Amino acid sequence: MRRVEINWFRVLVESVKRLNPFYLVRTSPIMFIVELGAFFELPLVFTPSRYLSAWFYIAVFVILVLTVWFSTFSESLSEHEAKARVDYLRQFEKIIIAHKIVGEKIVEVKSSELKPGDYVIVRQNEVIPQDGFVSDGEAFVDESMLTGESEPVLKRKGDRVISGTRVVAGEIVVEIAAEPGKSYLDKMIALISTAKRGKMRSEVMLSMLLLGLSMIFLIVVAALYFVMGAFGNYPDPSLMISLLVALMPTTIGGLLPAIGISGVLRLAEHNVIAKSGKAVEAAGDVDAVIFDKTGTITEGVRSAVEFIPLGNYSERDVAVAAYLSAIGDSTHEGKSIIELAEEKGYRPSQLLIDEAMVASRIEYTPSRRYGGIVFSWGKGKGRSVFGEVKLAPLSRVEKELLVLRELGGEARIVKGAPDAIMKLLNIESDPVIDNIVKRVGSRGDTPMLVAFNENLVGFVVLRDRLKKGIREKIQELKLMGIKTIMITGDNPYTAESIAREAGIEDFYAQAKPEDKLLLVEREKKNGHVVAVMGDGTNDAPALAKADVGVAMHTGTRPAKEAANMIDLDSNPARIVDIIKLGRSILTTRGALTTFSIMNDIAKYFTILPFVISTVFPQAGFLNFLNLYNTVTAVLATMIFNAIIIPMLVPLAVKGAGFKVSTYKKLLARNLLVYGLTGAIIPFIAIKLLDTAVAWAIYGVVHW
Amino acid sequence: MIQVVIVYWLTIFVTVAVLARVLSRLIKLIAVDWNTNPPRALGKMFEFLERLGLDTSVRKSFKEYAKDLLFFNILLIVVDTVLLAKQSLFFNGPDLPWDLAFNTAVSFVTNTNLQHYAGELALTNMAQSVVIGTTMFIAPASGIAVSFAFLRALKGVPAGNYYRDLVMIIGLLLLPLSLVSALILAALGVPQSFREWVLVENPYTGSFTIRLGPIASFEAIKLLGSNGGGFFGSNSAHPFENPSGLTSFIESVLMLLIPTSLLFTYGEIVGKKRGLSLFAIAYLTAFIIILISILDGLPPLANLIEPRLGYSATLVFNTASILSNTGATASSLLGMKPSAVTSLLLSMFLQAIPGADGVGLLYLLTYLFIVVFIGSLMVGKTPRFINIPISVRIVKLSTVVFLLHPALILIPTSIALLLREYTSFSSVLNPQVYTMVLYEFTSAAANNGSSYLGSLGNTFFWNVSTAIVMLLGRYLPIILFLLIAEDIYKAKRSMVEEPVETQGILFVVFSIVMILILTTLTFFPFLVIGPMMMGG
Repeated sequence: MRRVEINWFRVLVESVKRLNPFYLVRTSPIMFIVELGAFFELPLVFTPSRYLSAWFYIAVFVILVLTVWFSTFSESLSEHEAKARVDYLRQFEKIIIAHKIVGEKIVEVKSSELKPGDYVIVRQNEVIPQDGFVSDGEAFVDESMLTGESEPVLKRKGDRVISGTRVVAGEIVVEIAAEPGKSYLDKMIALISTAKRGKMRSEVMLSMLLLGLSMIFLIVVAALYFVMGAFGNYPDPSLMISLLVALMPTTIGGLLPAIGISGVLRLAEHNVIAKSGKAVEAAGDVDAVIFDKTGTITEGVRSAVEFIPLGNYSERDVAVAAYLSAIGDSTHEGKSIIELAEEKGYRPSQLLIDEAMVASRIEYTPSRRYGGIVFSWGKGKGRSVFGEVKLAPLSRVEKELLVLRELGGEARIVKGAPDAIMKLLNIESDPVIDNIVKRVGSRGDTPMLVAFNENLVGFVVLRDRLKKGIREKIQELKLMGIKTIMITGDNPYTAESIAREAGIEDFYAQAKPEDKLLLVEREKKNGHVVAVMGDGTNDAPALAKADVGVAMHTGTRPAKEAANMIDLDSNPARIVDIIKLGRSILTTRGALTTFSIMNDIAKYFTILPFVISTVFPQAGFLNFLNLYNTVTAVLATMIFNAIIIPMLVPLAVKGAGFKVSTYKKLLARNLLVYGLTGAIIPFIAIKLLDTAVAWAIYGVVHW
Repeated sequence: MIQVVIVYWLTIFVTVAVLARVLSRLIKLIAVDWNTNPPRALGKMFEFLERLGLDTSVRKSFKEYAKDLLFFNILLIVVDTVLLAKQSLFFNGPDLPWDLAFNTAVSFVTNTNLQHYAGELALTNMAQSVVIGTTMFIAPASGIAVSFAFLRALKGVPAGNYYRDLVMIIGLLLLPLSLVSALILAALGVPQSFREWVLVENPYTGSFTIRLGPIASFEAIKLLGSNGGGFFGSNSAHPFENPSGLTSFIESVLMLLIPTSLLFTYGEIVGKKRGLSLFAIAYLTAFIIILISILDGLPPLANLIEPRLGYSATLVFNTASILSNTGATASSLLGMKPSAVTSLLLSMFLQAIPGADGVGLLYLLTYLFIVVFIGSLMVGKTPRFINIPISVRIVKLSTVVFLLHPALILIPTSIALLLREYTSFSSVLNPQVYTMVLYEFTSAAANNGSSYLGSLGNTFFWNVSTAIVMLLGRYLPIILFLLIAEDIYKAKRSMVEEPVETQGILFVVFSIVMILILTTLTFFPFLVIGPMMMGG
């Protein structure tokens, strides 16, 4: 991850501008009250008392303003960082260069700058930059990404063409009909600004609770003021303001905007574009994920995983025969056979490999359904090679091949679909073979029969292997209490075996493309919050219907349009990271709220004793921290209250309190970590600050 | 001594738990099954009411339910006020001044039973039975009715019908229970008579009169219905209301019985383990309060305490009474030690451990919504309670419920202190007097009814101010509860794992810590200035 440049000066200016009370009252009511409190300090400067000098009020004023500024600074900083990060993503967005016709000339412009009514010329192998109609010319256009139909479509004057499709042959002039879709990144940038960002549901609830708590403390402090007054000694208003600020949940209140932005920031760090803030929250709530099998769970291509010998042949024979027949085969299957054989140490002798390189090949075709290799050695060339190869023990197939080579003759090795090979060799059905075919098939694997001349050597078992790391990701989802569902066009046996191997709970086999939508609907009906990934146009309805739809950047435009997030890296397993991120934004809020509430316990033992003991000296026991005097106690508490905000900014932005774990463990852990530290830290910090302040002001070392 | 008190408490807890467990099934039957499928006799009764012109449909909305409740309660307040203010017309007793009549009517209809009069002097037996007695059935029945509507919402069923609920709760729950309790109490020496004043001839001191009346039956509903308004001014300290240690034990159990049963009824509806967890939350918190109450020690005898009962039994009775928000007292509160007063105040600040009939459960559930909300955030999920998503509205309304209580206590207390010259019953202000004022409004806001003031509070200011606080403290939360219930009823349910499991040890501990901290944070300074300074 590249670090982004931060313009500190601009952050500073921006954060100072946000001290504007009219801005605060909309975005952060708690900070608004703190600022209001700060301004109430100012008139008090002119009424110093014997205990509290004008400097005291000025100090409290400064600390309170700093408290607010720390909050706006954290907000500005994360906004700035998020914007820089999203801008950095722009380089990933495909920019199509269009050839716009301006009068007689043709000008190169970005597709995003096209307006309806513009004319562009699209030549062979170029992409239609924006939706529109053909106004001149004829061309074959490849619309396979939209329709799945691989045959190019002829477009004539008046026909509609869709952006993102490609001209295969011909040249057309297109009249642009659609506004340029707002870039997704522009939508994401709109999410960053605190003022414009639609608040998430949990954020609204939390703000409400925090505001409620602040109101309670406002009543408490006001009542305390009047009670003390009734007892004949109205406390200094400054003490009451300080007590109120100390009790209000300023820590979480000050960090809420920064946490809100951090969601967008952290998505951008994962190279994911979010089109709405709600999607980020919904991501944390996802409890059912629908995976495509091919390309997400499995690699999408078949690889050799096992050799099964037949008759008198050994596993080594199968490997060697398959290896030789796969030489020069550029398909993934062929390569994987060679890899597997090498891995198992069954490399044929170099001589045969060299021979195979020049041997003639039988190409695999869909109609033939087998492929292979034919060695033809003329007679009597006297290729005695026994000297060379006797070092290595030879397999039966190799020996036979070398003998044939010695004697001169033809050797053919073929591999392919069992029935095709049987037919080729004119062998009637054989129970042993049928058994293996059935057994391998029922596991979801594909058997491939290998024959050497007229003899069956054995099977190569092919399997669509699981992607690396996918099992671990699915395990994580399970631990987080998320249901995993796999959708595949395969038969139920194959689907089941892959689901079991990957650890997926549920699968939907023999699915047609439109079944994905049905599946999303079914899970939603069961009350699940559903996430789904997709790239094709077929996926668009499911992406739109799901609570969280993640489109691959390589996907079609309708898919990206329908989704609420786009993964620029086109990694379908990214959904797991997105879910974790959504959860971690909420845990950050929860952890800091608990921390903030627990902080309050300490604050009753710092300022309150000095308020009450003016009338009730017996209440001195509350000051068990032995703080020096009113001035130091208030300043220490206020300083703690202020600096805890910037100290927690890294936690707020990077996320706190999330681990892949069960709900119970996570709750217990966060309660212990944030609840306990929240209760203890302020006692220690305020005591230390008090000592420091007492030393600074009075020059005494008071402990 | 402390061990004895704890064992005594545990005996009460176990007795209450066992009885409540049994009673909870009957309550569930009434709340859920008979709501839509009443047995034949009950159905006939409802048909009769229907014919009288009462709408007895059970598919009323929560707002209509609230409207019915408010209408009926306001009507009752008006009728009671008039009957008491014109007692001479109806019951051949002295007329109460209008402000006292209003205060008394509000006090009984809101299930508070704050008494600014002495019952034996101010009211005749007829007035006690007709006005006070009837109201003492209707008030708790209204609270229980609200909890029924709420429990139905949790089940996904419409609110039901307030009047039907009232009939069922009084007829099938309160009356039979009161009958049995009254018989037991009468057998143990509580008088039950229609004679009013009895002349006692005593050759040594001269003859004097004592007051009699239907005390046993009055006592039964006073305790079962979290009412707490005594037949006599000295309440359960009076030997006719609470003659012996045994009656003191039984009365303590009766006070806690219905609120505790409702915790288990909740369990019957949403899962037994959840009910048990709720019980654990309420009673473990109560136990913490009890430990606080005995911090200042337990003298065998103390000033202003009935020697017949002793300090410990009196303390247990008073604490049980305040925990259940009944408000009956077995002594003057002036005789209680500061730690005991602190614990009484704390339990009124909470008003949910287990709290009054019906609403106690709802306060507890409201706290739990906030707890579950914070807990859900801590595990990174949007909040969900059992199978119901906690909406923005539920959090908002619950926060208001939470905010309302300190507002209703602290604002009037401050006003009373500022207007001290006009309102005070005492010319000096010291922690004791402050505690009395704080206690008075706390008791009114929590609809508890116990009081330091008693007849001293019979001034215009106290009568009106506490009446307003009682009204707001009763009906605002009830309206909010029903609005929350409406949201819960409409919520889209799903069988997804709850982010914060609403049962089990972790949930119980988490809830107790959060509830105690949030409440203590709010009231701590006032406990310091009030009861904690009273000793020194």
